[in-house]
Parts: sequence; C-alpha cells; structure tokens
Amino acid sequence: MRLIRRAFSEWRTAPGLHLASTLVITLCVAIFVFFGFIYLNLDHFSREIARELVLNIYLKPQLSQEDIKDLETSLLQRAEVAGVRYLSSSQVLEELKHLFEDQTLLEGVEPSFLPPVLIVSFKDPFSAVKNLPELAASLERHPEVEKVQYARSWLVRLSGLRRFLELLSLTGLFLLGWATVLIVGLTVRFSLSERREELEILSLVGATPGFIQVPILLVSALEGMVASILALLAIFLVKLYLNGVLKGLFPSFTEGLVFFGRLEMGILIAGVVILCLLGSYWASRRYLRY
Amino acid sequence: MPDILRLERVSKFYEPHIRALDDVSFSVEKGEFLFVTGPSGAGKSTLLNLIFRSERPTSGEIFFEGRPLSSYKRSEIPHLRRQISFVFQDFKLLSQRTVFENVAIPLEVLGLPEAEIRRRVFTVLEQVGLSGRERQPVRQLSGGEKQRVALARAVINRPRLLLADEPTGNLDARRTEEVMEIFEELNAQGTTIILATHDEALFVDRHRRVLVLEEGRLLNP
Repeated sequence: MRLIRRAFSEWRTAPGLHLASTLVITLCVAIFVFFGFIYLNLDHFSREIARELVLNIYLKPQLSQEDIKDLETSLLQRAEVAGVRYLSSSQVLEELKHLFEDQTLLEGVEPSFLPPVLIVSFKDPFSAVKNLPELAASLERHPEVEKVQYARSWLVRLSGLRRFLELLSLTGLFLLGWATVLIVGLTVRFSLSERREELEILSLVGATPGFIQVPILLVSALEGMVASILALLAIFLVKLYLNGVLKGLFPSFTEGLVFFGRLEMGILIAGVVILCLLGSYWASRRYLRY
Repeated sequence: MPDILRLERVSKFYEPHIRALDDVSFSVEKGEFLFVTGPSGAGKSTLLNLIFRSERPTSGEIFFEGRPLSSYKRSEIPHLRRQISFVFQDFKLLSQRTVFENVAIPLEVLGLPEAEIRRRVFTVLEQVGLSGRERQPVRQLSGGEKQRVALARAVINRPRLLLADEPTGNLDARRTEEVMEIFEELNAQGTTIILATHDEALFVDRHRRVLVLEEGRLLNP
C-alpha cells in the first residue's frame, strides 16, 4: 500500500511529463501493432491462398496401375507432401468441363488426348516452394512422367512478400524497443533531474537505491502497460472499421480480418512493460550512485 | 568510555596540489560533544565528509565503532548513514513539503509503521520546540526553525553519531543559542556530536573538547 502511495507521489512529481510519455509510447506501440496487424492478415491470407498450391505431374499414357501406385507411394513418403490424388484422362476431361463455361471448346476432345495426372498437395506450401524446382526436376527424370507443372511465379512472389513483411515487423520491433527505452529513459531522467535535491536528501538519510528506484520502476511499468493496452485497443477499433469497409467493397469477404490472440497480446504487453522497466532502470541508475 | 570514532593518519588531497587534510589522527568517545574549529578552508567540512563516507581519504583510515570505513561496500553505505546523521549549514530540507514530511523521511526509509512514524515525529518536534507546526510547509519557516527541523530529522532515527557542519552559520545570535541548546539536550540524552564551526563563541565557556584545524593539519591532536 505504501509502495503504491509512493508510486503515485512519484507520478505526481511530473504528471504532464508522465502523461506525454505514456501517449508517445502508445503511439510507438500502435504503429508497431498496426504493422503487425497487416502482417498477420497478409500471412493469414497468403496461407489460405497457398493451401491451393499443387504440383501437377502429367503422366505418360498407357501406364500400368502398378507404376502409378509406385510413383504415388514414393511421393507420399516425402515429408513435405500432404496428399496425392490421381486423375485418369477421363477424369481430367470432366475437370476441364467444370472449368470451362463454354463447353463447345471441348467438343471432339477424346479422353485419350489428355494425359492422366497426379496432383500433389503440400503440408506447408511456403516451405515446400523452396525445394519445388528440385523436386520437379527429379520427377521429370522419371520415365513415367511427361511433364511437371506448378504455379511457381505467384507463390514465389507471395513468399517474398511474406519475407519482406517479416523483415518489416522485425525492424519495427527493434525500432519500437529502441524508441520505448529512449522515451521512458528521458522521462525518468527529466523527472529525476527535477528531484535531484530530494534524491540527495534521501541518500543522506540512508535510503537504499532500491527504496528510491522501486516506485520509479513501478510507474514506468504501469505506463508501459497502459500504453500497450491503449495501442491494442486503437488497432482493434481500426480492425472493426476495416471489416465494415471491406465487407462493403467485396461481398465475398465474409470471414473478416484476423486479430492477435490472447497469447500474442500478452507477450506484447509484457514486452513493452519490460522495455519500460529497462529504460527507467537505465535512467535512474546514474542518480543513485553512492 | 569506548571510542565511537577513530581517525588514524588521515589525509585528503585534491588534484593538482590541494592538501585538504594532512595526517589527522584523533578519537571520539561515545557520548562526547566535540567541536572542530578553524578558519574557512581549514578542512573542517572535508573531515566531516570523510567521516560521513561521502568522500574517501587519500591515505589513512577512519574507524566507526571499530570497523574501518574503507571496508564498507557501496551497498552498505545507506546502512552506515542510518547510524551517522548530518546537519548542514544550508539545512537540506524539501521546501515544498511540510515539517512533518521532512522529519518523517528517515523513518519512511526504515519502513516503520505509520503510527510509529507519527508518534516519533510528534515527540521529536516537541523536543526541538516545533509542536503544532507539523503541517506547515518548510518554506514558510524562519532560518532558525528550518535548522530545528533539520536537527529533528537528523536525530529522529536515533543515530549513534551526529555530525553538524556550521549548523548556526545562517542564524542570528538568538536562533544560534536556541539551536545550541537543542544540541546540548541531545548530547545529554547520549548522542555523540561532532560540530564543525569557525565561530569561537559557540564553544567558549562550554567546557568541551575543541580540535583546531589549520590548513588541513590538526594543531592540538
């Protein structure tokens, strides 16, 4: 109770400064959370799309069922492969009929004209895309295989975009950390320099550095917690607003944007609190040397 | 009476060639009221600062209750300062805070319960003649009253040794006499006091031991 009272009295020494510091940290965290929110949604979106990544292995005609089974088994043994589906020439023709609205395009096409296909899907398409050229080349060397195809270009681009956003988030994390430590450090230093006389007196009457430092650290931790909660709340409101806007723009947009889970939000709040503690510890230490 | 403080060949030099204290040795008995005098720059303040461990001697050793001050770790200094109190010429009070708040600081540092703090603050304020002034901000007090608040703060945690550096330097003759009476009372209650002053009138006729410093050297060891 006494500690809380001392922390409040610490905050009261420069309320304007502490309020400004909380708002600036809120802004920093909000910028970072906003980038994180964009990354989260693009990641979610790209994973949804990438789930449709398949490797089409066009087989030579007149292959025996045994050869096809062997190839299927060898593919299923690969760690990255989620499943293999076989489509015979007639099934391929049926698929094409579903695909084309204008059925006249397929008039006169015999099933024997189309090669049978093995469709390979992957557990983690973004990890699989790195090894895909190698896999495709090795499959093409098989005597049973006519040709291997996959939508490489867009997947590589999508994977590149994810990497870029990852890098952006990491840079944001670093900048956020640096800015938070600096802001909190400066606030604490300003408020301590205003209280230099009091600190001197406290040290003269035998106050330990801990006695002086603990309320300062408590105030900084509270500032960090309030700032990160405010930032998360602000970006959650942005999410609600964007959900409404995107629903109007794309009627097929039904799932809505995704937001951080409880664990992620907890980690963010704890991270900001730790950064605030570090900043205030670093700033107050120099005033507490005996 | 056993010694509470002992200085052995203590010297303090400042760069480049300032000799603040030179080979000073003396001891102080428990319960003694010792005056240290000398002209300005004689080394009185340096001597008190060394005993308070806010500075370290260049050579020699100071023993407080038999333990060398050089053996105190940084983390032990706050505990040392709860046993040695200091009264300054410029009071070193928080002018925006009340008399009560200023005097209570050392007890808050000790983490005593609030009721105990209140009881001890009221007792010590009565002792220094400031009863009824608890809620008054220090900035509204006269110089003599401020020094009495500083004294109350210095003795509230019952220190073993009280150091005072020109405690009456900013006071007129009447206020000086009032403050000196309080020092006498505290000493009568058993507090060991070392008072540094350049004002001879403070110790004349008091029949106390007086150490005379001049240019850092003790003239009457």
